[in-house]
Amino acid sequence: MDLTALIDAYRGPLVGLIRSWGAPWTDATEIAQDSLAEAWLRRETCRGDWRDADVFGRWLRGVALNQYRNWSRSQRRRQSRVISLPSDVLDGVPIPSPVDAEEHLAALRDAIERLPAKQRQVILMHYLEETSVKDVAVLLSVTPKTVEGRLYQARRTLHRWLKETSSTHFRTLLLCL
Amino acid sequence: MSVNLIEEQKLRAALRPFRVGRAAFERAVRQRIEKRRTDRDNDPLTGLPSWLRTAAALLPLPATANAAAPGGATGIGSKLLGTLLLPAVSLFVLLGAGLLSAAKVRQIGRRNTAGSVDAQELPEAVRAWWHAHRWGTLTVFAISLGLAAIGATWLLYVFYLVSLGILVYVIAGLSKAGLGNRSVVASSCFIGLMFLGNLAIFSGIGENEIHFLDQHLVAAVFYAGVLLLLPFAAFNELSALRIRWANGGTLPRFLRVILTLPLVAILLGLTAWFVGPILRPITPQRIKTYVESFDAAPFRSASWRQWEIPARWAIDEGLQPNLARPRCLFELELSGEQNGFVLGSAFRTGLIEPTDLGKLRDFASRRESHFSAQRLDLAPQQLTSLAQTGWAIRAAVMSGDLTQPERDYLAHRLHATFEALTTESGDALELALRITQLLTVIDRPVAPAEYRQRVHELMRELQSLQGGGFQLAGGFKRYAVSRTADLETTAYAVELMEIYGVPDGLDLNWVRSFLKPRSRRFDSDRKTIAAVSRDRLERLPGVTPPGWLEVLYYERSLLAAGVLVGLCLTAVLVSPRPSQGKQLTPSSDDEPAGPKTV
Repeated sequence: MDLTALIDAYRGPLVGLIRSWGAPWTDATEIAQDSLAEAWLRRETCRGDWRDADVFGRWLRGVALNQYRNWSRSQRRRQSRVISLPSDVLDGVPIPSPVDAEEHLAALRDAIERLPAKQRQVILMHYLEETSVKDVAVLLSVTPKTVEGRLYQARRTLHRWLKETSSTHFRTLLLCL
Repeated sequence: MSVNLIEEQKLRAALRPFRVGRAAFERAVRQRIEKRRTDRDNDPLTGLPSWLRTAAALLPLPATANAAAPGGATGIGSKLLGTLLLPAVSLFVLLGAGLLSAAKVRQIGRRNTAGSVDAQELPEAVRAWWHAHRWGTLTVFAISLGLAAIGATWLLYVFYLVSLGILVYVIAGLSKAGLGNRSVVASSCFIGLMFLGNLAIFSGIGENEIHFLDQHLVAAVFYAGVLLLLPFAAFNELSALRIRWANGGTLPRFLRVILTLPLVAILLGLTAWFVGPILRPITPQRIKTYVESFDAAPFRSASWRQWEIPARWAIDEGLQPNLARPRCLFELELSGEQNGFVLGSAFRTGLIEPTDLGKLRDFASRRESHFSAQRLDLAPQQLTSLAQTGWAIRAAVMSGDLTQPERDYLAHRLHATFEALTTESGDALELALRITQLLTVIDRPVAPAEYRQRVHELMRELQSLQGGGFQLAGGFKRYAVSRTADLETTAYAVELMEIYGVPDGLDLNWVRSFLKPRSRRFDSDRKTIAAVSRDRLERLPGVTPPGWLEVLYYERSLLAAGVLVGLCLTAVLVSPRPSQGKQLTPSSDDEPAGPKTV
């Protein structure tokens, strides 16, 4: 397996996985790039045959977790040195207003963030880049059936939450009228 | 799609803005790889042994970096110095601490006076001194026990160094209190060495680290020190007893000797046991005798498997052992159960003769299941239970009726079995060895390059660097899930190294440490297996024995123990003798001075 094939196989689910641990999207991408680079350089030290998808997936997750922990520690150090900006500077920053058409998608993204960790993990890993259930399962060291189960539960939860949100919104509109 | 689920399209749309460009992502990964490679090339510590990298965290960079920096403009002396730095530091600390402590002890000894404490008061005064220092004493005991419990001999080494300081402190303290006469110092050293000796035979010591010598030798050194100090220390201890004896009457000399005899006998016995593996090593002659004397297999196939390892070594070495007694034992098996494992061992050691083939009850059925003519058209499948049924292949070869197509078919099945080997299946290293041997037997020898990487991976995965429960670290495990190594599997691993070479990154010192002679190996089977495996290991192509500095470094605890005992003896010898009139008379008013006893 060459580097390009590895990147193609793990790019999406890895970014999704790191995002599910709590890193912002841009940082998640950076951590994923670091993890893949590290894993590729040290692939010979992997216990077992790194060409075996199960072995490499499990190992890559470990490398990514270490990278994420390093990032997390550096974030904490950075936050302890943060300098408060004057309020007028913040006032000058434009607040992006969601376009009406995108409002529903924004609500969906918020709902995804509120999902239980395991469900959020599979949603982000599976739908970010259309990664197969099997590849997601490999990276999480679980069976594809487990991933399918979690996806099902996550989609059902999201559907219920969004339905409740829209009905509340509708009731609010009626009250206003 | 169920109406209760959110649409997948919506999920994709929600996450689409966060997708990363394929090309940009790959470019970024490649840039990172390139940068790390460049950084690594520019790092002077790259390629250094791990212990030297650790040393670099503590020592000046130039000292360590010059040791192995490729192309560095440094002389051989500088490189050598850098490479040897950490062991050398470690050993020089011991040497320095030993010399300084000895000098300090001599200085105290010169200033010291025997004191004028009455013999009746002396034991009480010594007891009072120790009582005043009870917390320090308890702390030392607790630390020692804790370190021994976790099997950390390198920490114990540090502790022994600290003990040098403690010894000086104790002697100085006794001297200041006017108690520093020879018998009191000897008594204190006696107790300390006895404690350290007992601690050193604690089960955990040395199990998790590399040692070329049995760590029970540390105890032997301490016990030797105790035995040397006994004549001096006994005076003090027995004088205390004497005070209570018949209201100051002299304790008869024969009674003193009798009282110390059990202790001397125990210490001598233990010391002899611990130094036994060195004084009476396993020689080829002893191995040959062991192989020839095999006439009982109390544990059936397990006993045969253990016997087989030294037996094959003796045959390979051309010792021509007389296998009459093993043959008699095998005939009982042949007329009885015909255990598959025992048959395998018998074939591999040449105990079976062509005339025996007709007596093998399962031969026809095994032949049928392995390589019958009807099976030749089938796709080759793995051979199951090869360790138990592999004898049938050897029997077929011995009978001379194995055709070329059958050999080819068997070779395919053996290769299929080899490729399916995993660490989870258990006995992977033994099976790898058996398959390699069987392929040679059927004239289809394996090319080592074909399976070298696979075998090396198995060995790396199955090496255990964790000891405990009387087991040493450094050997090879039968199962991946096992915690500690197994002697037989280690013997098979060494034989595999003879064929496939030593795996990269595998430190042979761990294997040496696992196979070292041990006083705790009670039975001859295990002693001889370890001995023949050590011999095979040291004869591997390209393998060099450890250098003297390496040996000193790994045995620094033993050296430290020796220094400590030497210091105790020095402290006792430089201390003044007890004041005769005061020491030997329980009460100066009771009776005149008795005979001198030191």
